[in-house]
Formats: sequence, structure tokens, C-alpha cells
Amino acid sequence: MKKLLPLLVLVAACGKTTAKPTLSSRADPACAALDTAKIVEVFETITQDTTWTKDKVYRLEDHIFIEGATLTIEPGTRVEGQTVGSSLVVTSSARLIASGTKDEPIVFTSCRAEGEREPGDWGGVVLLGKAPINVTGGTEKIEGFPAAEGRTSYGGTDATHDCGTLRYVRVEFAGFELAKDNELNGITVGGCGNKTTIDFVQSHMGQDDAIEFFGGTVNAKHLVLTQADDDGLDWDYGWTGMVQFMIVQQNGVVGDNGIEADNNGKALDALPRSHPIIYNATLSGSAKAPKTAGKTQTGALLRRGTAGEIYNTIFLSFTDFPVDIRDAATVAQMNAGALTIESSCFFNNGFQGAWDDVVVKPEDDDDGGFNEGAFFTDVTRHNLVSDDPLLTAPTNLVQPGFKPQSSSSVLLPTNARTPDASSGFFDASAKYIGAIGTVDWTESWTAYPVN
Amino acid sequence: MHKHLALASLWLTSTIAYAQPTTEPASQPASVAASQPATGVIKGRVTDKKTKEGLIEATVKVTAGTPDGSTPSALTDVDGNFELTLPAGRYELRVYYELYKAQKFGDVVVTPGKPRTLNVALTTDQDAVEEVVVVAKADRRSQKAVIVERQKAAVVSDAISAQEIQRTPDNSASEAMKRVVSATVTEGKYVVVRGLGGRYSTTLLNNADLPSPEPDEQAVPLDLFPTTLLANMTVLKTYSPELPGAFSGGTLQIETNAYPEKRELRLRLQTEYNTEATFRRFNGTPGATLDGLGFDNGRRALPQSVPRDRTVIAGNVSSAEQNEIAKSFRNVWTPRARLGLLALGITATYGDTQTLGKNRLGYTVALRYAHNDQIQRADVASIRIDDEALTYREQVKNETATEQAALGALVNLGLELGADHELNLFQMLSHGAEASVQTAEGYNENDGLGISDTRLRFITRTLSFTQIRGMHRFSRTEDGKARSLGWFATYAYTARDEPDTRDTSYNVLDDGTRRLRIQPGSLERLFSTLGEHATNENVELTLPFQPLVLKVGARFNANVRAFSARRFRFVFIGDDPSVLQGTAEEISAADNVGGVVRMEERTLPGDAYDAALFVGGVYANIDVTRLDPFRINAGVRVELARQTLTPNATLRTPGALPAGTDRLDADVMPALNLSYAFKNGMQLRAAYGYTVSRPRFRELAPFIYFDYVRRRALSGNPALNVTHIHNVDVRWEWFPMEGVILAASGFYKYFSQPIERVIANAAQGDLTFANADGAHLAGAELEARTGLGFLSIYLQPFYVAANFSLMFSRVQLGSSTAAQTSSARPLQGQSPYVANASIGYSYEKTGTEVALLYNVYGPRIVEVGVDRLPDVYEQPFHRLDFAFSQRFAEQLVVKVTAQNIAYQRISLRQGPLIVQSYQPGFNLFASLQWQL
Repeated sequence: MKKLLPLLVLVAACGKTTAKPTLSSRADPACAALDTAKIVEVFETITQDTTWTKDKVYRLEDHIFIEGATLTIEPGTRVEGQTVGSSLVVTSSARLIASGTKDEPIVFTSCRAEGEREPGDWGGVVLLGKAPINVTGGTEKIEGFPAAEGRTSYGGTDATHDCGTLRYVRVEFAGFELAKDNELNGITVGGCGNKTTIDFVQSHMGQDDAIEFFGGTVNAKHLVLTQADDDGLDWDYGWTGMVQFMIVQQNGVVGDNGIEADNNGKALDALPRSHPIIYNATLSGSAKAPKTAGKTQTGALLRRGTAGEIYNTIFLSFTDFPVDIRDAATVAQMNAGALTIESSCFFNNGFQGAWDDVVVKPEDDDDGGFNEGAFFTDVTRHNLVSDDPLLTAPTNLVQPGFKPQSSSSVLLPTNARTPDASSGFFDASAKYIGAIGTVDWTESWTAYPVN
Repeated sequence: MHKHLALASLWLTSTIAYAQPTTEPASQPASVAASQPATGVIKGRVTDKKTKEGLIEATVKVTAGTPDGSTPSALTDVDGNFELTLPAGRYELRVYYELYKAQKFGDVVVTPGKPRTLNVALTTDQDAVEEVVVVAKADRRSQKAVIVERQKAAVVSDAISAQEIQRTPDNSASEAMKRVVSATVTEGKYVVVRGLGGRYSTTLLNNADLPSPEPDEQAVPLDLFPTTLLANMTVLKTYSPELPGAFSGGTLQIETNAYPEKRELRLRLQTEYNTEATFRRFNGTPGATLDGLGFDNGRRALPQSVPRDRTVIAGNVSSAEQNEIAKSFRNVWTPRARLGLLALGITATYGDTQTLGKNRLGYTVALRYAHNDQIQRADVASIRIDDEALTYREQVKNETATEQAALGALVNLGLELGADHELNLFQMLSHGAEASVQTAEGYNENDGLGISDTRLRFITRTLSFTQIRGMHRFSRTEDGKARSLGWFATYAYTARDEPDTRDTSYNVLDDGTRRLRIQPGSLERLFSTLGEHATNENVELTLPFQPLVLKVGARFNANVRAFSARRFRFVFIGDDPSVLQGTAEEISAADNVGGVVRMEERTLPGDAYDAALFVGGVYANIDVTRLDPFRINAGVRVELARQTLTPNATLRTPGALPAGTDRLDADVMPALNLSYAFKNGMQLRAAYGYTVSRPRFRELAPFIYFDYVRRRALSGNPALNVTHIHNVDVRWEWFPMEGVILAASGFYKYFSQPIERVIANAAQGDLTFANADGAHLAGAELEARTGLGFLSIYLQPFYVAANFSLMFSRVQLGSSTAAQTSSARPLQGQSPYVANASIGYSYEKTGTEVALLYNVYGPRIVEVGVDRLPDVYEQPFHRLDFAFSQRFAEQLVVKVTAQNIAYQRISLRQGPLIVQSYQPGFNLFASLQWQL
């Protein structure tokens, strides 16, 4: 009898699913009409190991928290978030294994029909862990949720924390705006440790940032961060991960910076200090004339005491500045050699000729007179400042191409720095500037839908 | 507890009097005692021969026998008792009372050490009764009456009388409140008692609970009550079981004006000049023509096109409908400047008492209108640690122009049926509107650009309060005490409407170009309504037994609240970002709707909730007064409370509703008040009480509100627990002579699971509420008040008063610390000291009142520091006020007051840096009161 019971429950559950004629009142009327038998309405906290399969469409009807359990998502599965408040939150006691394949990526997107989707339709994917962050007390609640929500805590002392795997995953039209300056990103990663895997992940049309790392030691490879509402890659609170092969594409109406880098906004020298190492990134702006974009667009805004190393990276066509350094604490990191951009390429960015905020607006000096242009064009940093990287179609929003033409100087190994393979993370063979060398790894699993 | 009953019966009972051993300086007992060391006492009771009831304020006068020929006298107290201390000898006494036949007693012998008892029963003077209405009541509005009441109260209390309020420049209850010992007022309307703010102070209006009309504040805004309609305000600082169990810092009892003894018509006209707003550029809302009268002219109403049963989102409405709805909103986002006006106030009160045989009917009607313009220009900053030093992060100039209009009406009807039955009907209506324009101009560190934000806001608050109460005395005991039944029932309705709050946010580029920010809080409108019904019933039976008085009673409270809000936002969907450089009106113009902008409803599932609180309580209390010199007041109260909060799903919003609350709590709350009365008017009191503090609706509600000035969101926590409090108090009081008080108190409170406002995350600074582990609060209070007549007869009209409180508190935040810098700190809003001092001149003959008042509070936390940044302290504010009033020809009173004479700024500091400061301005106020 004891063995029969689960079976009975299963049968009852199955009966329930198949017999369900209509969706519940929680269902968003704005969602695309689908065969209801195919839809699984997800509205409760996931507290037991669960597997989502590709024969169903999983509709998130609330902010779904995974607690003390692992959610496994099979390749080719589609997860849809409904509007007015839904997301998938992997709390620090849980893991998400979303491991797709090149041909069968896992897609997280808006529940609305294709053609009606918009950035910010739903809240995106939130990964929370127990790796160190530099906020007082060592823990913090992730933004984008009501303050009383207790399950959003992240941060701790386990640098090897494993939040799970995101592999061949696309997250589209995400980023929930809870209140002013309080939003979820396309992908929000708080305090995840270096056992977490993020590889071949696209965040497309996310509101606020495409991906934001709040502290932690998590690494990421093969990122495609396209047309975010705010920044492409954003980091804060002492993130010390590594990144290789990253594409950022900003659009001219809503996009902000390619990279926005902070240590800590309140205590700029808080420890551990943000110090990621990035090799092989391509950051593409909108190529608009200065001050004509919807926001001030900068290739990389490095501020609030961050450190970090950026190598082999293309800064292309940013409307307002190639790189802006802010705050005395950040300048101190540059002078100490802990924050640098080397062996990279700057081309067609706003004010690239007079590359210093003091020159642009003397009263607006926010870095104690630090001259960005002089610093980054210094020959010891081996940066290219007048070579067109000759990418195929970097500002094309529908069918972009980030691969350089074979004649491009960014492909010359002598212009690049050999990635440091000692950690076992970086691919040392990528002796070129930019995210893509001769093989376009974005093919087949990425997508660039307009709506 | 005597006080409580007296309150319920208010002006109808003739229970208030004050012991007045001597009135004339020449006959001071001190001088008599000096020349004749051996003194004795005559004491006794003066009663009505027929009813056996003690007569208050009857005069017992020595007419002959004193060595110096003086004629000392005494007045009887509330029970008819008197006491006269005289040198040993033989005296002739005369006992008299208005409308009674006087009696003369010759040859009364006073022997040292052996009190002579003299009980007198007076008969009514029939001739007099025919002509004149019965007894004159002691006016409970006078400071003397208030002091006597305090002296006789079983609990520790501090009060401010209507008379004293008149002497101050204070126009509202909140302003007057700061004159009370260890009371401070925050944001100009919320009272903080003993450092315990908002949620820890309960307000009772004529003894009934008053619901708060604020969705985001826990306390009742006291500026609802104009001082002209107030009798007394008393802060009860120790608990006694007749009070609702939700007691912590103090319970503020507001008594409204009674009706006058004889026909009285009072008209008051007042005006006020403020240096910051009057005749200065003042931002108003275009098209809002009726704001000045306290009402919206309909232009802010939610358009009819907006469906009431579902949200305006794709799937609920078609995109064509959505665009039509967008066009139906008034396209007004930008303020229009006018000139700030002088404040204006008009109050009219009329009252009378009619005698119908043995019965009396009294009434008061009051009407009020007030209007004022205020501007707060604040420099607001946020800070950070850059390169190891605290430096400014953002500096913003914030300007808030607020136009306030208030309308009020009050009716009070009292019926006295014989001497034993009283009925009272009280109705108050209060309506206020607050139209404000907030602008913020400065630097946004996150964007690295200038910022220019605007909010147009209009809030109306309505309070209707209806109360019927009665007092019935039954059979009398031998000593004239009666069994009595007191009761009241109230119904109150509060409403708060916030129609069409409009926010815009621009970035300002270095060349001055303005560019609209596309994000929440920009081109967004909020509509919210809150309504709360409250009813409160109380029955109390008083049973005098020798030697104690037993009181038993029951109270029921129900509060039912409904709140809902809707948010709408215009989002940019165009391709050309240069459109964003237009004005908000240009961007959201009808032509742009659909192609360039689209309006979306952003209402969240937590934006509507229903909440209810039901509290049933029973209590029993004994008051042992005949144990002279001890007095014991002990009892217990049992309360059962059910509190629910349910997110409301009437408006169809997809998604799951947030969690609600449904909790049932039973609490047994014992209380003990002990007092020891020394012969010379000294009293020693000690008290213990165990009380609760329940979560307020706002603290439970998941509704998210964006704080515009501090740029962060506030939301409640449905998982909160009830706080339990142990209260211990001691007080020494001395009332050496009429109008003189010396008092010193000490108190200690322990809070178990106090509900604290906590910062949930370092990045946003979002606020919520959490139960901390515990909190301690200890303090000491000193108070002195005296006339200066004892120094010299010429100083008779002068008086001085001062009080000083020292407090210390510590909250252990435990696991609710989150990203806050300190895990233990003082309670928010608690000053380490509060001081008040005043010197005044009050000369009845010429009708002159002059007062100089000073108030200061020590640095208090207004904002908890987060992520290594220090806590924000509001700095001491030295407030110096002056008031002068002069009566002319009995009918006209002219009053002139000046506030903030020292022209002090309010400033908030975080570490060494000032993060907010503004000048509240110097106020010059004048009023004219005509009395018939």
C-alpha cells in the first residue's frame, strides 16, 4: 500500500493536468494562446528536486523561488514568464541545472506572443549563492523584490558555492522594474561561487542590465549580451570572476554602457574588491553622434573603487565616451596597476579624440583630473586607437555580425595578449582582440528577435 | 481610576476642584506658622444636606480669632473635604457656598497635634435657586484644573491645558504637544513620547480610539486638531487596565471642548506670515481651482475610460482601447508658479446651556476654515566613503511647496438628567487637502548627470467621528459615593485620497539639455484611496466599597480598512530619442500616443488590500483610596485580538497575490499603580504594567510606496509578530501650593520583539519592518512649574515652567540587522534629551498674557546607516517662540506670536557631513478673537 500511494498521487496529478480545460485566474491574459494541455502553470515555491521537460511550456505566474532543491531543465525546454511580476529565483540553498545544447538551447522568454514581446515583460533569471560579497555583514538582499521578501538573501563565505549551470541558454525580454532604480536584470547573479557554470548564455532585450554580477567568484564564458535597456555587463560588491568571449551590443534608444563596473557605491574601498579578469570581449555601441542617444553611452564606465583587468577587448562606436573613469578611489586602483585595459582596440567612439571628461566639460570632473585618453593611449598598454576592427555588422540589431573580416588588425596575434591559462579557465589559444576569432561561436543557438 | 470616569462624563460632572489653602498673600500659612510655632488642624467635609453629596469649592473662612486679624480660608476639594492649619487658639468660622445658606461656627478650638473635625451640611437657599441656574462648574480647560486632575490621577500623567495652549503660539495639537514633558513632535504632526515615536503612541479622542488616515505612517497626525477645538491633552505614561492594551510610550488623550455654562459666541480670525513661503514664488498645479477650498475640481479623477474591474494591460484591453485611455488622462505634468499667500484661519464657536427644570441641555457648535502655503527648500545629499574619507555622493536641491486647506465642524450636545444621568453626543468632521509640488534638482551619481524631478501631488484626508456617551449614577453609599455606569459608543470613518500623483524625471546634460528618463517614477501616475471604518464601544461599572472602588469594564474595537492603488506609466516606444528632450506634456501628447509613447498600467498584485483588527477586552481594577496615605490601584486586562490583512483581488491583475496575515492573539495584562501621599502635598508613585504593541496595517501590508525625497521603496511585512512590553515607572511629585509643581520621574521599558523599520538592502536602501530581538529604554524626567508670587507680590502675575528629560535606549537588531552598519543602536527618533522652558506673564485684571518659550531636543536618529556609513542624526533644534495676547473690553482678544525667533535651521548629519538641511522659516502670526 505504501508503495501504491505515490503512484495514486501521480495518477491523480496526471488526471488533473490532462483534464484541465482552461488556465487559472492567475494566468496573464496577455500571454500567447497555446494548447493548454502543453502549458504547466508554475505558481508555487519549488522545494523538491524537479525536472522540466521540453514537451511542455512552463509558465511562471509569480516570482518562483527554488529553495533547498535542484531544478533541472532539459535541453530544448521553453520557460515563459508572465507579465506584471514573474521570475525564476534560485535561492542560495538551491541549484538550477539548465544545460541546453547548441541545437536545442533552453529559452526563457516572455509569455506574450512573438511580435508583442517587450523588454521588461517578466523578471528574468536570478541566481543567488553564498560566495563572498563586500556588503557589511556579508549578506545582502537582491534588488527588484519587495523589501520584506526574505528569500532573496545572498552572500557568505563559500567562494566555491555552486549555483548550478546555465549552458546554451537564452533569456529574452526580461528585467522587471519594481520601482525607481530597483529592477531585476535579464540575468541577475548574486554571490555565486566559482563552481557555478555560465557558458553560452545570451541575454537579449533585458530591461536594466543584460547581466549583473553582485559580488561572488563566478566565471562566465561565451556571453552574448544584446540590446539591454541599461548596461551590457554590470558588476558590483567585490565580484572577482573571470570572463572570456563576451559580446555586448547596445541600441541607441535605451542602452547605456557596455560595461558598468563598481566596487561598492557606499564604501568605495570595501573588501573584497571587485577585480574581474576579462579576455576577448567585443563591446559595440550604437554609432550615434555624441549626446543623441537616449542615454549617455560609454564603452566602459569604471567607478566606485573597482579594480579589474580587461584584455583583448574591442570598444566600438559608443556614442559618448570610449571609457570613463570615475572617483578618486578608482583612479587609485589605476595608479596601483590593479585596474587596466590593455591590448585592446578603441574605435569610432564619441570624444575619442579628446578623451578626457575634463576636456569635454571641465566642471564635471569626477575623477580628480585623471586623463583617460593619456592613460589608455600610453604605448605601454598596447592599445589600438585608430584601427577599424572591421566587424561584419556590429550595429545591425536584427542580424548582427561580430566576426572580424579576415583583414582586420584585431586578428593579428601580435596585437593581442595571450590569455593566462594558469587558472585553467582561459583559452590561451585566443590570441586575438575581440570575442570572435575565425569561428563564430554565436551561430545556431542565439537569436535577435525585435519583439 | 478617577480620571477615566471623569473623562467619560467630562464637563457634566462637578468633580473637579482644587485644594486652595490660602489665596491672599497676607495670610500665608508659612508666615503664621513662623510667629506661632504650635499649630493645629481643622478638617472636615462640607455636604449638601439633602443629597449628602460633597460640595466642591465651598469656602471655609476664618472670620475672627487670628492674632494678626487676618482671615485665612480654604476651599473644599472634589469630595467636599477641607483642611485648615491654624495657630492654636479659638476661632470663628463661616462656611458658605453659592446658592446655599451660609453657616457660622463660633468658638472652634484648635489644639496642636489634635485635629478638630468639623462636618457641615448646607441647605440650599430657595430664593436663590429660583433666579439662578445651579452650580458653576470648574472649568476643566484651566491649567489649575489640569494640575489638580493630574495630582488626583492614579497613574502618571502629564498634560497641557487649553489655557496653557492659548498662551503658546501653537495652532494645532501637534504644536502644543511639544510642550509636554518628554514629548517631541516629528514632521510637525506625529508625537514622540519618551523617545518612542509613531507606532508607540496611541491617540484617544474623548477616550475612544482614533484611526490613522495615513497609509504610510503609523500615527495619528495631530495637526488634524486645531487648538481652538481642544480642551486638554493628557499623556498617560503609566498603564492602567481601563486603557486599551496597546500602550507603550504613552497614550495621548485628547479632549475636545465642552459647552459653556452660558451663551458664548466666539469668532476668531487669524493670519500668518512665513519668511519662506509668503509672497514668494510658489509652485502650484495648473488647473486645480478648488485646492484652496480643500477639494479637487474633478481634474484629478481617474478617467471614466479606465476599467474599474481590470487593469489596463494587453489582454485585458485592446491596444486601441489602451491608447484611448491614455489620451483621456489630463496631460498636465509641469507646475505653474504663483505667489505664496498669507495664511488665513477663521473659526467660529457658539455654545449655550439651557435649563429645563432639573435637567440641563448644553451645546457647542464650531466651524473652521484654514488655508496656508508652505515651502520647504531642503539641501539633500547622500554620502559615501571614497578613498577612505566620507565625501558627498549626490547633492540635490529639493523644494516642496505645499498648499493646505482645512475645513472642520464640531457639534457637542450634552444632556444632564437630574444629578445622576448624563448623556452626550459628539460629532466631528474634519477635512483637509494638501496640494504639493515637489521638485528636485541636482546630480545623479549613477547616471553621472544632472537630474530634475517633479512630483505633483494632492491628498485629501477626511475624518468623521461620532460618539455617544453616558454616565449613570445609582444608589449612593454613606460617604456620598455613587455606583455608576459609564459607557460610550463611537463610529469613526477616515479616508485618504491621493488622486493622480504625477512624477516626471529628467536627466540634465552638461549643455543644459533635458532628457526624460525612461524608467519607473517618470511619466508615471499613481491613484490611491484608503478608507477605514472604526467602531469602539466601552462599558464601565464603578462600584465603591469601603475602602476601595472596584471597576469592571469591557471594550470592543473594530477597524476595517480597504486600500487600493493604481499606477499608470507612459513608456517610450519610439525610435527617435530626441523626442525625449521635449516637455512631459509634449512627449505624452495625444498625437504621440501609440507611436511614440504608450501608456501601461503598472499596478502590482499587492496594490490593494483589505485589513481588519478586532480587539475585545475585559478588565477589572481596584482603586484603594481610603488607605491614606497609600493609594493602590491594581488590576488586570485580558484582550483578544484578531488581525487580518488580505491582498484584494477585485482588480484583475495576473499573477499570484502576495501573502496576507491572519493572526489571533490573547494577552493578559496586569498593571499596578501605587502612590504614597505625604502630608505636605508630596506624592510618590510607582507603577508596573505589561502591555502590547500590535503591528499596524501599514507595517503588514505588502504595498510598495516610493519615497520621493529619499529615493527608495517602503513595503510592509505580513509576517510580523506582536511586541510585548514591560513598563516600570517611579515618580515623585510635589504640589506645594496652587499652580506649583515639582516632579521627578524615572522609567524603564523592555520590549520583546519590537517592530523596527529596517533597511533591507544596502544598494537601494529599501525599507521594511521586522521584529528585532529586543530593546531597552530607560529615562529620567524633571519638571518644575511655579508662579513667582512667592518672591514678591509684584511678581504675582509671572510664572516659570521647565521640564527636562534624559533618555537612553538600545535596540538589539539580531538577525534583522541586514546591511545596517550598527547591530545595536538607539531607537529611531529617540533623543537623548528633551527640554522645554517658558517664562510668562499672565495678569487677569488687564487681560494680558505674555510668554517666551524654548524647546530643544537632542540629536536623534532619523535614518539608519547602511553598509559602513554612519547613522543619520537630526541635530538639536533650538526653538524660541514668543506669544503675546491682550484682551480689550472683555470681548476682544488680540494675539500676536512669533515662532522660530532664533531663525534656526533643521539639519541632519551623517558623520561630519550635513545630508539634509532646511530653514523652516520665521513665522509671524496674528489673531483677533471676538467673544460675545
